[in-house]
Amino acid sequence: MEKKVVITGIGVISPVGTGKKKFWNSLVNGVSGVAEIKSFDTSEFRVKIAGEIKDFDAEKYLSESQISKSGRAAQYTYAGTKMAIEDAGIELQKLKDKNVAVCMGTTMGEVQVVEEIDKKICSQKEEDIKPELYNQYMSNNITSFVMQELDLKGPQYLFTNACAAGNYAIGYASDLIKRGKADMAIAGGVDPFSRVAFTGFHRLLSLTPDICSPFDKNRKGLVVGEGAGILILEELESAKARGATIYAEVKGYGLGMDAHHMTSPHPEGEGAIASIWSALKSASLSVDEIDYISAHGTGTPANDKIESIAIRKVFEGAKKIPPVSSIKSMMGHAMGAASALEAAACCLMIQHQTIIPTINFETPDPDCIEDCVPNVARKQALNHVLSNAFAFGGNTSCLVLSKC
Amino acid sequence: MRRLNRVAIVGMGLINSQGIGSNEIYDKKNAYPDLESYEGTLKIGYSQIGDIDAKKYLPGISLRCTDRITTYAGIATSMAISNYISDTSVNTDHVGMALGSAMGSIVSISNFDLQALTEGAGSVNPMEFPNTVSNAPTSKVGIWFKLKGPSVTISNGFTSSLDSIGFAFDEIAYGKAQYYIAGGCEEVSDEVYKGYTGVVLGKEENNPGTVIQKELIGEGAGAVFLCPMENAVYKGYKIYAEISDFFSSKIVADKHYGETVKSIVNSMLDANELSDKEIKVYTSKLINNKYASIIYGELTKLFGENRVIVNNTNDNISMNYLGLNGVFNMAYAIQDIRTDNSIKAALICDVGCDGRLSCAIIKY
Repeated sequence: MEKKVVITGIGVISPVGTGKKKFWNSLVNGVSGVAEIKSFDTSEFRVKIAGEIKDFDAEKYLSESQISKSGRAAQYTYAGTKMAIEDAGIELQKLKDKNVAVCMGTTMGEVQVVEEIDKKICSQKEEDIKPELYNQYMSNNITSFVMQELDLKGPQYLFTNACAAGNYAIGYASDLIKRGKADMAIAGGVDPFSRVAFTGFHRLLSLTPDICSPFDKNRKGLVVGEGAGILILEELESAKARGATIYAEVKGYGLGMDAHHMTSPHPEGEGAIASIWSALKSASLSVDEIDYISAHGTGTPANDKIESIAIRKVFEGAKKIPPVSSIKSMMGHAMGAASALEAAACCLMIQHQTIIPTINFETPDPDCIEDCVPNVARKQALNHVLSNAFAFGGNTSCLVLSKC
Repeated sequence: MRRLNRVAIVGMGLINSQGIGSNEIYDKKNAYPDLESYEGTLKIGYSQIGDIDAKKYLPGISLRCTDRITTYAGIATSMAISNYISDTSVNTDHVGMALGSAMGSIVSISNFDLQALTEGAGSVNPMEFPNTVSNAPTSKVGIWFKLKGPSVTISNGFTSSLDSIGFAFDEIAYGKAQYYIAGGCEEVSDEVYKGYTGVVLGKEENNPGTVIQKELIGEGAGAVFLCPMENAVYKGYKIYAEISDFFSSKIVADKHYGETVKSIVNSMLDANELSDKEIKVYTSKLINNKYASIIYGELTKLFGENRVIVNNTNDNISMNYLGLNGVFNMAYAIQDIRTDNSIKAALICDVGCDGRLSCAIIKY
């Protein structure tokens, strides 16, 4: 019989708050983390807002020497991991005796390091670039740093599948446990706020100048965000044996590919549909058993329309389309961290049996799903939920989390 | 959960600083590459691929706004699937892709950022923005060849390509996928060179002295086309080799490191019913990586120096293809075991700067 893999720890660093409690309280109350950009001068940009992290104090989680040898992405990951391990009630020392996988997802890795180096080059201060900065250059430092600093052994994977990367990492981590390759896993996604990402989306005209309003008829685009979502995964029996709080079971996941365009989704949502079907199949669930969908829901006209087409197609024969909401309306799009933060939010929604709303919703769009849980959280029985995440390059994914 | 399928390698495509195509690269594997830039004091340089006629390998594909790393990935993939893309029974809806890269899109990120910083944010070409995401090569190549299976990009440092092949191997072996193109791609430049030297020379403990005199970093791409052995046999595909096992893990980075390596290798041999006399080992004796030196030492103790093959090396210089060493070593091993009857199987060993060990066993 296949092993069941469950989530027993959550660590979150997000624009709406650091730590599980702040994160949940903000999301359930519809508090936005979007504000004016502080980390660089926006005078040459039309758009001036982002979902930046405001309350992260690296020194609370990392020593001075750890800070000096790590990039922002590694710091978020390490801090999120420590929170998740503490939340799971696991003693660090005991982790060292286990085979622990570290699977993370990211879009651009330690992009802030590259940006810092570029700034020095541009200001002709290349000689000021500290050698330590180059040590933080490679993306796999994110996972290596956690492994090394916590003195862990086990499989280590960094999935660089852009905005769907967190789902890839969580899904594969569950496979590693099912296949007996790991006893436990630290899995999630991370991306620090990036000038490159902001500039790119700005030039693609994908950014909203004011609010992010997924599924609204007058939606204008996405908000660039940042963060890290880290989960502790382990076998159900191991969680039960140590009396752990079980947030949810990783029931299954599906990956797909549009094979259509680098930045535009397939017009009929082919990849999205394929990944949702594949997730349902791997979880052995029917569409009628799904209680809620956490949308990719970026707030761009194209994404929300195509995601709605895909959801409608998959749920064509179902009794009804379940409620769908997007936490990006509050946090912005945290890139490689987005799907991991959404998975964390799904775990908390299952725990509280409450659906987080889509804020900033005013006008229904006939091209979009009908029930996006507008503006106010909703109490509802949640047994099985889907979490969609789609990415540049047409990489699509869907995670199934279930009440345990 | 047990592996259900045997996995065959039915296609192979390679391009690197030493040549294009598996035969040319095999023949030149220990040739001295041309240097684009060389920094004598650091004993490390880098070697780019010169001008190539990419259209020859990617006919009918628009390469506008395509960076070098993606072009290399496309060329390697094109070669790996050239025998099968015309086989209508290979439904590209079910072909997945898993490519690894140590440096990923760093060159494109930096170029994009420098353009914005020097010429203004409004001057950047939006069509070049997608090149900055690390999954661009895998995704773009998937789009070109209409591959609709999962598209996976893994950035696992120097073990990236071997871990991507291992990922694809497991997906097929556990029955989750039918076909996978797997391997890796790298692009080197001033930025990557400085990043690499920062990584390996910035850490004193990783600089154990001169195992070999000089090291160059190279670029390129390598891809293998994988499917269940049963399909390959049934459809009469050319079978280059079978991947029979894969292991990847960070192992204990302490004084017992060598012993742990030995124990892992021995248990893989046992599980695959192989003796040390039937096998050749392919690894990279990387300068400035203490774990690579330890592993090389353990492997030579286990198998004898003659059975541990280090390619891309001659008396003076060693090429380090960063995340590509694994896929290139696998390609060399495939050529060797197909032509040398004394070898029953090959063990490909790759090692990360952080002590991660990845191993694959292939059989002919």
